[in-house]
Amino acid sequence: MIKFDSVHKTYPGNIEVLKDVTFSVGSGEFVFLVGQSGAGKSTLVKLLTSEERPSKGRVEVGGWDITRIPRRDIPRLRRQIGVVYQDFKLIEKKTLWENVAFALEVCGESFHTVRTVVPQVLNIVGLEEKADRYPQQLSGGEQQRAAIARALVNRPKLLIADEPTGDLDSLTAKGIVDLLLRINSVGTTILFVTHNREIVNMLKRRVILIHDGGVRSDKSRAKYFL
Amino acid sequence: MLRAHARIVKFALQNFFRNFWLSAVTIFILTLSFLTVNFFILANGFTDAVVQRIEDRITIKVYFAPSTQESDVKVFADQIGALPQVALVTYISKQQALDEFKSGFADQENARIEEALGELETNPLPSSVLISAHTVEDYPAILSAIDQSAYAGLIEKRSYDDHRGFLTTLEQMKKKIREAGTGITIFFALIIALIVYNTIRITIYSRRKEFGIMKLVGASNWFIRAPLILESIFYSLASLALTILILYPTLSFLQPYIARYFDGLAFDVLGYFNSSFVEIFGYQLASSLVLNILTSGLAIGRYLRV
Repeated sequence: MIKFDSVHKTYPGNIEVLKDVTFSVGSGEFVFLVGQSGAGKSTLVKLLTSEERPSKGRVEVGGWDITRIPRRDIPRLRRQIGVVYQDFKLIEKKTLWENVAFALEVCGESFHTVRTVVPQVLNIVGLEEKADRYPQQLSGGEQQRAAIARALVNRPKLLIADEPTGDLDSLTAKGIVDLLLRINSVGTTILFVTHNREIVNMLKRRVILIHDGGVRSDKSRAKYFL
Repeated sequence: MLRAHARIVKFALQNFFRNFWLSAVTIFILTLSFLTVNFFILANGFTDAVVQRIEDRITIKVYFAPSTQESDVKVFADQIGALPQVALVTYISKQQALDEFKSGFADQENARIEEALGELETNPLPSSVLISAHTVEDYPAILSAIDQSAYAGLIEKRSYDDHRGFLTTLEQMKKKIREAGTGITIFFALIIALIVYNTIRITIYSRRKEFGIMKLVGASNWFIRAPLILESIFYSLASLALTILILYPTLSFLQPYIARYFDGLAFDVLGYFNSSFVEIFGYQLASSLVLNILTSGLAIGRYLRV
């Protein structure tokens, strides 16, 4: 599902953020990408969503080589990946329903599909009752669940969760993790980017540790040690 | 494709109403600009009506020497009437001139005039020819034809020169009003362009985070840009509609006062707008749409990095 092959990323001023990163994630896996702040985790996510391009190496998503993806194809790539961010990235002037529907609308889905799928997804994340509310009228956990609903609505094969529990209390964070586990159980590949040791150690899944721009370790059913 | 367009319209309408105050202020300023432009259109129409009214009254009246044979005057009238610039020629015989003269007095005075004319033994009034041209610009050619006519020597007097100075002044005034109107229209067109440019710029700035999110969700550039352009079209439509809504009741309220103030000049302001409704507002709509689409496109290209 994901393939990084000798990927380097250097920013202007010769700032090397990623150094020779190589790993792959299979279809249906649940993988933690861990590391301290500044280790290069967010840059890896940005390479997957084509917000950044690698300076060297090759990046593949779902068998699609996106290393030098043309600009016009970027929206098509992003519609195939669900991404959940730490700061939720919900559109403030749209209701919850509209935020989720937007992800379908940009794909050109029919009005009927939007009307059918959005309530289903909101039901999955437990927010059906709050569909008409605006993001600022929701709690942090609810906003994150809304962001997950939006990421799920296109039934992506890959869901990237970039520090999804970073701004949440531990109980709410656990709810989000449970939700992601449920999503994974139906076959969606999950790349969970975090530095939350408690969550990683609790789930005992595959852990890729990024340190100083490179892969320091890649172990299945691992714990997070530094 | 149709679905995508429908959604773009939906998003544009949502943005238009959810950013209500920004939309309201933009529409308010655009409406003021439209009202000013329409004021000059009205001023132009008014001067046109004044000039037309005066032009309608302008004729050349050629008076012949009393000794001139009526048959010569008739031939002269036929020759002038054959000129392409001439719209109407009216021959007024000596007798008609006398009858008209008499009809201007009461019976008692008429008796005295009859007495005076009886003493003269002959009709002292000259025969004349009244000439109307198609347009004011035709008069110089007609005057030249009169001067070159074989009957020019029989002409005692012609009346056209009396109006020439006034008409020239009026034409100059009309030209100046037109120039001022054009200048002000261009000025307000620039203001409209700046307002729309700035509104779109503010919109982009205040919603830059939202646009970023849209991109991350997979929205294409067109899906983000098109509603913004459409919003600027809504500004044009709404402000022109508001202009019409303000203009018509105001003009119908002012109509009797205008008629009273310009006594004798039956200038129907509402009729003027009604008769050219499509041209006046159609042109304004078309030019503001073109202007707004170009301006918002420029602002989007400059400030929206998608």
